[in-house]
Amino acid sequence: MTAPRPAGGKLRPEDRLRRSPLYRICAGLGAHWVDMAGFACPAHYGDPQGEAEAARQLAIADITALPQAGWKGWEMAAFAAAQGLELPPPNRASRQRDGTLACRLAQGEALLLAGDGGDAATIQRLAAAWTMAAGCYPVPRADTNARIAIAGAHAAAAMAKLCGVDLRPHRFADLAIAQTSVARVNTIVLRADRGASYALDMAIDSASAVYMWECLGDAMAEFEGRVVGLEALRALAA
Amino acid sequence: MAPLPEAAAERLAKPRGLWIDRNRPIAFTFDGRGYRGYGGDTVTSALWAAGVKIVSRSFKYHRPRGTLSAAGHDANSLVQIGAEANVAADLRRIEDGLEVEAQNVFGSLAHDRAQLLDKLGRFLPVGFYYKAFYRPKGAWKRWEGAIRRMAGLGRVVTAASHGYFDKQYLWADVAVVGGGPAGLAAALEAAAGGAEVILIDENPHLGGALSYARFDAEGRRAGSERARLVEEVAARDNIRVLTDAVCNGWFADHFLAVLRGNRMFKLRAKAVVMATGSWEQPLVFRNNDLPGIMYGSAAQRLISRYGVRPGQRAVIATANADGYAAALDLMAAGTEIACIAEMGPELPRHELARAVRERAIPVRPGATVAEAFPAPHLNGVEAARVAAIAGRGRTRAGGETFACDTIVTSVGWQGAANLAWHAGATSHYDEGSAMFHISGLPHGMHAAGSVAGTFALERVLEEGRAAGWAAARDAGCERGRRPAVGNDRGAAGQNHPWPIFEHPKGRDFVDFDEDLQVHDLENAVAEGYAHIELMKRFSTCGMGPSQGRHSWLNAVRLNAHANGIAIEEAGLTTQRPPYAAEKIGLLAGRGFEPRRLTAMHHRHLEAGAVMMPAGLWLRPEHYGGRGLDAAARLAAVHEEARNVRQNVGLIDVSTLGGLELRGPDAATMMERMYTWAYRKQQVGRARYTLMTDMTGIVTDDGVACRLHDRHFYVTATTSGVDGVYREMLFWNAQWRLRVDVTHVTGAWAGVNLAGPKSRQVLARLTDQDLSAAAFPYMGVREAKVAGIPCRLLRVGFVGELGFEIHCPCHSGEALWDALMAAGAEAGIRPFGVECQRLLRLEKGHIIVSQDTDGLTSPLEADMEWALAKKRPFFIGKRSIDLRRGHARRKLVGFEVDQASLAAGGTLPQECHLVIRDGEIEGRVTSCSYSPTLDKTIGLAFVAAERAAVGESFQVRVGADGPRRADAVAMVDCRVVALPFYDPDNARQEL
Repeated sequence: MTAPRPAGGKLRPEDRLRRSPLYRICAGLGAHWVDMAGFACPAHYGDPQGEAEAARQLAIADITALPQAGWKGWEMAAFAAAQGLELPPPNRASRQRDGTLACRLAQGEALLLAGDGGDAATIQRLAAAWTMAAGCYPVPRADTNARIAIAGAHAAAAMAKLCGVDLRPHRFADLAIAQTSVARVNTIVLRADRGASYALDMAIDSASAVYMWECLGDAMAEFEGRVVGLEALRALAA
Repeated sequence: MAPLPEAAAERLAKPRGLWIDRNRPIAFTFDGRGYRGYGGDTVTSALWAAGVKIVSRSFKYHRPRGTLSAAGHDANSLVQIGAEANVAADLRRIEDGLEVEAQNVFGSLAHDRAQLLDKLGRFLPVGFYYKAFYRPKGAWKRWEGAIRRMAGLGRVVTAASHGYFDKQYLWADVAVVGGGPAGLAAALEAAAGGAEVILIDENPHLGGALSYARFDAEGRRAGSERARLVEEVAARDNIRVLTDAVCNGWFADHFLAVLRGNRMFKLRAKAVVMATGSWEQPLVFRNNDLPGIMYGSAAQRLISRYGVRPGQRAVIATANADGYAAALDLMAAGTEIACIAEMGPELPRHELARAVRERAIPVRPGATVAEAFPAPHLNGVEAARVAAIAGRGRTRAGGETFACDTIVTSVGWQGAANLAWHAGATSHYDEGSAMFHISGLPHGMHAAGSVAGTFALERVLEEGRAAGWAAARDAGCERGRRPAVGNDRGAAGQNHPWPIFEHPKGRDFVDFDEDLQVHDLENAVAEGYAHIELMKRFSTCGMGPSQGRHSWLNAVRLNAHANGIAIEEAGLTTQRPPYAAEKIGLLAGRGFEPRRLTAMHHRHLEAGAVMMPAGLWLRPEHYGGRGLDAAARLAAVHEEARNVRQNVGLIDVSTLGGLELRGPDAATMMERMYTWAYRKQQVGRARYTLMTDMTGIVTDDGVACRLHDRHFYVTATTSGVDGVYREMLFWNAQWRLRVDVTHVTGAWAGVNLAGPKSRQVLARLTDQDLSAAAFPYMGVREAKVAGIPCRLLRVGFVGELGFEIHCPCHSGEALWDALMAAGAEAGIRPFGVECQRLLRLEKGHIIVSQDTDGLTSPLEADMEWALAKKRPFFIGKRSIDLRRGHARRKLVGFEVDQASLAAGGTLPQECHLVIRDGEIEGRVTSCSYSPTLDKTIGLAFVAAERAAVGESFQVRVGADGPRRADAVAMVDCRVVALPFYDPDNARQEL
């Protein structure tokens, strides 16, 4: 899925066959890119240290490039268990050893989100084991969804301008999931702290990603939130 | 710059002026003249300090008005600030450079030409405009503008820039509305129980009455209680304070609308304490609206909060201890008290009255202010006549006249219980306390303080604590025992039972907002508008900006008296949200209007596309660029069509709905949901889908691709896919089939590569054998295109050889780029939705919801070929069977007679009517000029019996030429066979 990179050239999202719907915005902000699962993913915007500090207060990051997958069907839980994936109850997530966030969306539906390291071992293990007879079917989450992380002490306050669910840290526990409306768009909101820092991962309709990014930017303005790259999220967790 | 009027003229020394910052002088203007105030001053307080007491003119008679409550409870202080009309000068704090204007004046505030209306009052009785301006017919249109101008409440500035308003959700265990003593005590108690508390107050500082009222003769208790409570609140981490915030409405489950600045908070609480206090009520007497006449609480607010002396010499009329408290505060502020009219029969014995008597102030028991004497042009008070009360609403003639510039009244209170009323609470009138009390609060709502009829400070604090405890308990934070509340709540003796003294010459105002006098309300009842709700609407009493805060209690009393019924029986009018005026901008907030962009969106823009909405999606209408006139736009569309017919075109069809049906029962599900047969559909083949509802009405269509014997990939219309998905989930829950339905619209990007050269273009990017033999029409293949895994569908919506290519949406732009590059030599060009509509019309394909409506059966749409006749069931089958043979209309193809167009008709448009013998027979659903066929063609519903090829009909269209815009013409049309183009399907099946 990767087009050949021009010899000696810098990595550009346009050279990838897979492109985040937000890549133009990120490029306009001066993104420095890193290879990730067929995408060019914004690693940072020229100020990795400043971005890491900003992410402790309020920041958003386009992490659509991180691998994700979905599984759905009446035998989903059994299929996952057979692959060694123990799922939490619905609307909760669990962290796997490879960093994957295994999100239980319903009794018969799971969403797997790779951690910031991009390790897709769990996702690949399930994909390799699947057959049409499984009673469980892949959901093309990697394309259905754009994925945006919002992190920092003010993240819940900024989200309160867009979402009616109480996402404050003492009310919305780490690894809790809300399948709700954010700025009038159906969104899966997962609290996935990076280290001690509060963070939310949002799986959003890909086609609505630009709209959502604008809404988040607007909501963050009063808190002086910044756009950061993947490295800032990794720094939070370090 | 000329020196500004010295703010110190009426300014008092510290410690008065709790809310102002004397180290922060602020310059502002009022009606073009400069003034100076201090940080924390309101427009009212700063102007009053500078000796300016008139800030507005009244609604109807244009009488000068000054502050009544100094709290924004009335409409006397509404001003214009820039583009913002109806700003409460009592509440708006001054800022450097603020430009304030009086509103509703003709000429100037001091010399309003419309004040003539005050002389003509006898000709303007209550409800006059309901009666006077409706004859002759059409007269109202002529009068309306003038009346609205005369009764203007500010100026609408249509050129004003848009403000930024937004919304934010808040959550709390306990919301306490009101930051006075009861609210502070409630918040502390709830917080002590562990509840998460939000404390809301409309003022910039907490304290409520503790920041202006006097509860003891020494005047110390309020300050010490305020300091203690506010300090304790500040020390609590689990109390969030929202000052300058108005709770404007209670909604189900304790959902509160809270306004602050340009933001609306939507607060979800588990329990609510309503500690909203009460509104002071006016004394009704002749000229009771003059500037300088105010409530006792208003005088105390000016003194204590802003350090402003209300006047030089005052007369006080009082029916309770508050009047004496105000007298003590006024004296301490240097105002001479000319007289206190004690409305009770004898001198009271409370400590405040004793303190007043010790200061040798003349007190007249059993008396009231019967009349105020105005200064020239009504610009203030010159004197007050104090007369003995002779009975309910009557005074004795004569009395004493005292020179004064200020009249202060303290005759009673009424609870600000709007939130309780929003929540469905009821009110009953208590003759003992002469006020309405609330009951029937919903679970989780508690009231404390004067809103609950509790006035004694100790009881208020106790009641606050008890309410806070109860609210915390309701929120699941119970702790300890409910705090005790003593008896003697202090309501008795607060309100005078009839503070209304009608004067034969009138100008005894009950409602200051609407300039309503006693006789206006009496006349309303006399005219038959006897019920309180009717009286309200006919007189407009309580319908002004203050929504009856100062008027409805006296209005109810007058209504009851006029009807000869008890006040309890007269009852209250309905109170609905909002509690206070709110800006439309706050309701609109930051608009959230989702839009969906396909992966190729920016490529379309780069290619000059003009985008159009399709549901939430944006799609290219055409690629001719912006700013084209109709002819140029049409030419661009025709050029795109020509290129598809002759070369190859590419259209983005990512917005098409996509659903995956997977499982052992997938074919069963398909056969129940759609009208055709799918069980025997081969893997690797596509088949048309038509969906009907239970009544046999066409609801959607698309294509079903069988990718596995247990897997169908089904497309649906852009706007219909969500409904189709819902239907499938609903029915699958009923049928319990072993099939999973997944909505994958957003996951797949799609393009249609169409035209005679499409095969050669695609062949450059894929190893898939594209020959007609290996990949026939209606075939489906999974293959890589430009390295991207794709689903290829050989379908032909536009009637040419074509391939619909679906790929993972994040690769959509890369696929587009690859196809455009591969097709460059072949002359590939993108085409838009308008071109696609034209091409499909030439091919005779319908668009569901354009060529069908909410009553169209497949039989009417000539789609019987898509109905599986041997199957016992699909949704809608029975209804369709019942309809068979009864179709009253048919969808037909037609050609327009060019001659009738040339004779002055215009091109038929969608929804133009088919007319026969003057009656509506049907309508046009699609129509366009076809450059390929050089004909004007279309689809239309016509009568079923006249649907045969060769039948003629007429369509009523707009007339061409320089005639009236609504002129019509008839054009002749003829039913023809479908499709118009390539009837043998030779081109699409190449």
